[in-house]
Amino acid sequence: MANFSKSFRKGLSSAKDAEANRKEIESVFQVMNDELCKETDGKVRIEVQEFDAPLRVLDLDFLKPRETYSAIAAYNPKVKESPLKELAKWSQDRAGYPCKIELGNMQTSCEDKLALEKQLAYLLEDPLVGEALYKLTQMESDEEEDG
Amino acid sequence: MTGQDKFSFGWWNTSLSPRGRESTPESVEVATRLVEVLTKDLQLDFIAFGEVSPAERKAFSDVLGNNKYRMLDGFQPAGRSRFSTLFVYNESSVTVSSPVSIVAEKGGRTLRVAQRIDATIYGFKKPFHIFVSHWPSRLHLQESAPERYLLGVRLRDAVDEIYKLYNEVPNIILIGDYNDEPFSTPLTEALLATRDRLLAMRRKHLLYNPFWEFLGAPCETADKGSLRGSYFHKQGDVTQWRLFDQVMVSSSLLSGHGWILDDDFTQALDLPGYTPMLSDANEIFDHAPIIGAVRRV
Repeated sequence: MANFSKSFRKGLSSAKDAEANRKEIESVFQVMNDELCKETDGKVRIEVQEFDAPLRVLDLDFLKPRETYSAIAAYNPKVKESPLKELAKWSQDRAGYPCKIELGNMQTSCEDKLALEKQLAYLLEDPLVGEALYKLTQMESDEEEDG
Repeated sequence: MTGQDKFSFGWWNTSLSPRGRESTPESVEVATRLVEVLTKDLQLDFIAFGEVSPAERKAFSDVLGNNKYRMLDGFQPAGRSRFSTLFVYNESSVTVSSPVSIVAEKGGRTLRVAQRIDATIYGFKKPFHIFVSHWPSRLHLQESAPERYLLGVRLRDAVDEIYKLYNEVPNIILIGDYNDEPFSTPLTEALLATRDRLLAMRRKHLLYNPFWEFLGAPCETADKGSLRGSYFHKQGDVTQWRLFDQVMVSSSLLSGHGWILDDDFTQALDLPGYTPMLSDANEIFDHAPIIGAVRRV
């Protein structure tokens, strides 16, 4: 016979764990952004964003909702119309971890905070990512133009 | 054997360059002879060679010459280690995608789960998704280590991602050196690879592992030169012959329409000139090549 009370308590406990994991993941991004902010004078911020999946020929059904995917993306917060540069695909388990980063031909499941920190550092060292971030730092900020 | 009615594949852990160590000219010579067996004699369509470094690539290339075989590098750093796979395929029968490396990071450790290559036979639309794995040895990751189970879970996740792309069961082939036996829990409980072919045909999410058949291979003879597994563990106290190299397939390759596993062809290769080297303490080789095939029905 199902023990719903036990399942309910387990669910609450899992929700707490998941919430703690999600906060931990957010904190890793926050630390990275704080350091990038100092390095670039606030011209680069990195977040997880939703993107529209490219339409395939077979998908030309206007009634279907457009498919989306998550990606780690960068933009320049000092520019109003800053382009959003997709850096790597991202997916996250309902429990927070693992979070998966797809960069080039490498798919990495980060099972804990240490792994996520390592992979984000690796992401920043990638030449194509470096190029994208450099371009963002070279954009004229709206504040400078206004000033 | 044409690529249109049969797709054959193989894996061999060459032991040539474990952890970046250099191979000797003598061992490279043995290896190139096996490359000839797998390509010129058996004419496999797709082969993954493990523990190869770019240094041996040239020797392999010389053997393959300018014929129908092409090489694809699977060398990729992963943490402090690296993927050390060299892929060889028959370009007259199959096209292949670039390899995608799948890793899991846990507790500061990088686990190499698999490399995925999608192979499409000329004339057919539905590709074969091939996961090639070389999991850590039990010396570097104990048999009971939770990370070993995690390898199975993450490989299953990668398989499930392919399932999600289809409305039917996809053609999936897993091959490699798992450093686990067919009955090990990472393969049975985490990866969901079963010995039970009929069950795999009914429960479509299960993978079928035909290598159960080769467990406990002939012990009635005293012939030291014959194959009794796929790997000979020279320091093994209780067991020396292990069946660490295996093939597993999705249920779409077990019955009905399209392609079906060729049980007679699928095996660890017992080569009279090579097998005795596996138990020879003076040789670096300890793995037999394994092969498999699916036939058009």
